[in-house]
Amino acid sequence: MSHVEEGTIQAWIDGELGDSDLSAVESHAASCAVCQAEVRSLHELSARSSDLLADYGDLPIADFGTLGQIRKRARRPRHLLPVSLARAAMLLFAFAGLVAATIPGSPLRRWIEGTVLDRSVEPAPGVVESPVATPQPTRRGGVFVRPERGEVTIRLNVAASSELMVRLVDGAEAGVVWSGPDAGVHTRQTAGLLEVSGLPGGLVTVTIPKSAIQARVEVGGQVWWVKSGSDVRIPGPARDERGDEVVFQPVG
Amino acid sequence: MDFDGLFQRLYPSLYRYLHRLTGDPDAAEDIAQESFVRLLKQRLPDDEVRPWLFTVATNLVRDRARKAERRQRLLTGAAPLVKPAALPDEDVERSERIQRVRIVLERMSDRDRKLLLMREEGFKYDEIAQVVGVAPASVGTLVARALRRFVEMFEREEAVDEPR
Repeated sequence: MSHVEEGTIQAWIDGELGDSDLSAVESHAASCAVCQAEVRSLHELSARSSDLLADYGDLPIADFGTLGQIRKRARRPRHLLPVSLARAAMLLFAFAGLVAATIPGSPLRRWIEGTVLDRSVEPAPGVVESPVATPQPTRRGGVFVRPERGEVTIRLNVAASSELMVRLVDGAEAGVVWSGPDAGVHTRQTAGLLEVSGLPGGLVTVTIPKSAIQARVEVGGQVWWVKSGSDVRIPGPARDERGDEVVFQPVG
Repeated sequence: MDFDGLFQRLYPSLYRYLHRLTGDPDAAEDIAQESFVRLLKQRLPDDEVRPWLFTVATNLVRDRARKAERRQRLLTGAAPLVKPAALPDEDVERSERIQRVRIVLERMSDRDRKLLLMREEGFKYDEIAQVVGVAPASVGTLVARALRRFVEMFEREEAVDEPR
């Protein structure tokens, strides 16, 4: 005698069987102890599963606030320009960049030679190299740099007993702010790159603008925090992660 | 299509499904809202809305998971459960049970998790088949096996945690 398949019993329990299958299963199960046991077992599993899931997952109220947010979100423009116009603008920009890169002495060419081709060039105007003995934090007890083409790298060598925090901020600059004295702190800034060493012990906060497309924080030559578009990876030893902040373990 | 009425009827269930699927209440809220935003642009018969909505939401979960290698909040995508310091034993037990359920759901295969949760939300087999991407005739068997795995994994997890 063939027994009812497990999938059919489950479909029976879930009310999914058509009339003809339903009567065939019911009449067989009425006289088959094996199938009755299987029915009981699957019933118990269904009940147990529902019971376990009952507490998990909130059932929110469908309030007007949420409905309002949905309608507002739907009104956000998806394209500020017609797509064809946007593409034309991008092509024009790329062509202009290509022309600028071929002109000797142009800022774009100097950047390419200085970073992509890694040739030694004099720093472009506006680059700050701080003297060894007297670093120059610009404001708020820290140093800041603007991302270059949406990219920014922060390189740190920090003292033992420092604690590192990385925060995403709404501003336009990436920065390193520390709580201890400035003496002994060395800084170097070029386009999109900020290097800080000799930081005192205590809390060191790195701020990265949310608008940065590519950003990384390196500590002691190792990558601890990486942003690429809207994704963030934390290869470093994160101790806690809250919202837009991540706090690393004490270093050293 | 009475959008406000559909929202009232379907949003709580969709949110709960997404919360259980992702373990992340913020992601659940964001994806639920985005799914309804997309629904605003559709003209669907009422009886097609629910499976359509859950399909879109499930695909958004998949797309989000593909993009992010690692979340900024907890690695597994769920908010960390704060163990209450001084709650009655019953609440502590409940909280621990929820934690175990979350862990077990995360360990299940993506397909099993969706099958289980959609069934729990009262979907019919042909709707489940459409969202999960399996043959309708196989749903009964797949659900039975998913239920078995879920309960067995939970009981194993419970046995590991029990004090010796």
